[in-house]
This record gives sequence, structure tokens and C-alpha cells, in this order.
Amino acid sequence: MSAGTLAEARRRHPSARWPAPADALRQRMAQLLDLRGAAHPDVAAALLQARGRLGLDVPVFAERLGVDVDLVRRAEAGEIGVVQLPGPLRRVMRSE
Amino acid sequence: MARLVAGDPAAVFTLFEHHGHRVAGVVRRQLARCGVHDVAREDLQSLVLDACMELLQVAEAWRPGGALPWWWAEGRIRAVVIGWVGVHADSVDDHLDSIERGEEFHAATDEDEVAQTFARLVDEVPLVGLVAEAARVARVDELILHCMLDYRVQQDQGDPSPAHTLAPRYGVSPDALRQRVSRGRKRLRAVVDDDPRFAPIADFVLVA
Repeated sequence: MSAGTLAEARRRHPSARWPAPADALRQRMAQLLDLRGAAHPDVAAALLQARGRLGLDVPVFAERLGVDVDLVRRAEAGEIGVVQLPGPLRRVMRSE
Repeated sequence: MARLVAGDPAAVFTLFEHHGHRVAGVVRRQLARCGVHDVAREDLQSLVLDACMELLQVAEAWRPGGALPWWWAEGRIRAVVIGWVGVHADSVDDHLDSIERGEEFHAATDEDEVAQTFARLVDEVPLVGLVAEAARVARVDELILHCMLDYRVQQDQGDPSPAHTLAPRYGVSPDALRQRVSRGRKRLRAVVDDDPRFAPIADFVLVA
């Protein structure tokens, strides 16, 4: 398959026609968590986004980052502020 | 879907990332059914976000013995779209005008009805359940199976070109739709031929 044909195929693929506004979904999630009383909804939403995009469950996500599972759960529940997060979680948040 | 049902909120990002375009397809089709053929990109994106968040919040209501997951999700997505159209609806006069002008309507099959009837029969009729199981083993996903059923219904109704009739509904070209149905049928056929569990459905036209 030539480069031109491949590029054309990619252009036609449904995923290319769907410019996913992922930040908007993160904001919606933050709003939902805020309504549910989370103290740090933005942090929680960013972590959920990071984990969701990787398609990992909490234990695997925590293991890969070398952090405590319970800490991830609390952070995703909006209980922990960004300054209290360990480095790996802060980095994965910023990469989103 | 399993992660959403288990209450993992991160799964909504996975859904959005990997299946957002499919959700968008369902939204577009439902909008078209509601007579909205030209929707702003921002509105479409907003509807997809609404649909994903809705799925997150109602996913726990899904039952493994009920409708197949994607069909179940489609039903919820359509409800979101219908709600949106209702809020933004103009007067019904436009629709009545088109009826009075005698415009042609294409209502040979009802996609919702086909999906819902099949989902119900999966629970009620063991042989239909076997078709659903064969589709799962053959990795024919719900959308393609749905497409195959729709295609078959069109054929049975005497449609000379089901692919042309159904292509706009599925947002693909007639050739792509024909190919989708053909591949799905071949995969289903291979599984039915190889696995004795599926012998009772070997004569079904859907897998023939």
C-alpha cells in the first residue's frame, strides 16, 4: 500500500472523523464530582482521564506507577489535592 | 461496559476515547430519524458527551441477561438525543408540511424494532440466544449483527437493493455495508460449522 493510499485510508477511517474533545469530558467529570461533594474534583477528573485512556483498572494503574492503590482510589474520589500527590501521579496528570 | 457496570468512572474515558465515533454515529442516526439532518459540530460533540455521561450514570442498571451491551447503550444514547431534540424542537408544522407536499418516505424497516425484538427474543427463544452466542464467539459485534438482521429483513420485504436502502442509516457506502454483512455472515458461518453447539442454527438463513 502506498503512503498516499494509507493516508487516504486513515483520513476516511471513522476515528479520524471524530475529533474527540477529551478536555470537555474531563470538565464534565469534574463538575459531576464537584456536585457529589469532592474536595478536589479537577485532580480526580484528571486522574480518571489518565487511567481511562490507558484502559487500566486501579490496581494495575497503581502498580505501574509504583504508588499505593488506596492512595489512587482516594485521589480519584477527589479527597487529595495536587500538592499531596506523589510524583508519578502528578506526572501522569500533567501528561493529559 | 463491564467496567462501567462495575462502577468504574474511568471507563467513561475509555468509552469516549475508543468508541466515541460509534456513539457519534448513533447520535447522528437518531438525529436524522428525528428530522435533524444538519447539526453543528459543537452540538454533536456536546450530545456525545451527554450520552457518555448518561451511560456512566445508568450503566449499573444494565443486566447481563438482558439486551446485548451495545444495543442497550444505543437505547440510552437515543433517549439522550430524543430529549435534546425535544428541547430544541421547532413547531411540528415543518413536518406536517412535508407530509402535505407528498414527499417520499423510506420506512421499510424500523431499526429500533429490529434491535429490540432481537434482544427480547435472545432471552425468550433458545435458538435466538444461540445466534447471539454464535455472534459473540465469531466476534461479530452487536452493530454488525444488527446490520445483518436489518439487511435480511429488507431482503425478505422484497427490497431489490438493501445495501442502498440501509447505507444512509449506518452512515457507510452501500459497498461497505454489503461487505460488512458478507464478512459478518462468513464469520458466523465458520463458527456454526466448527462448533457442534451451534448445529441447531446451521440452517438459519442468517448464517447460510
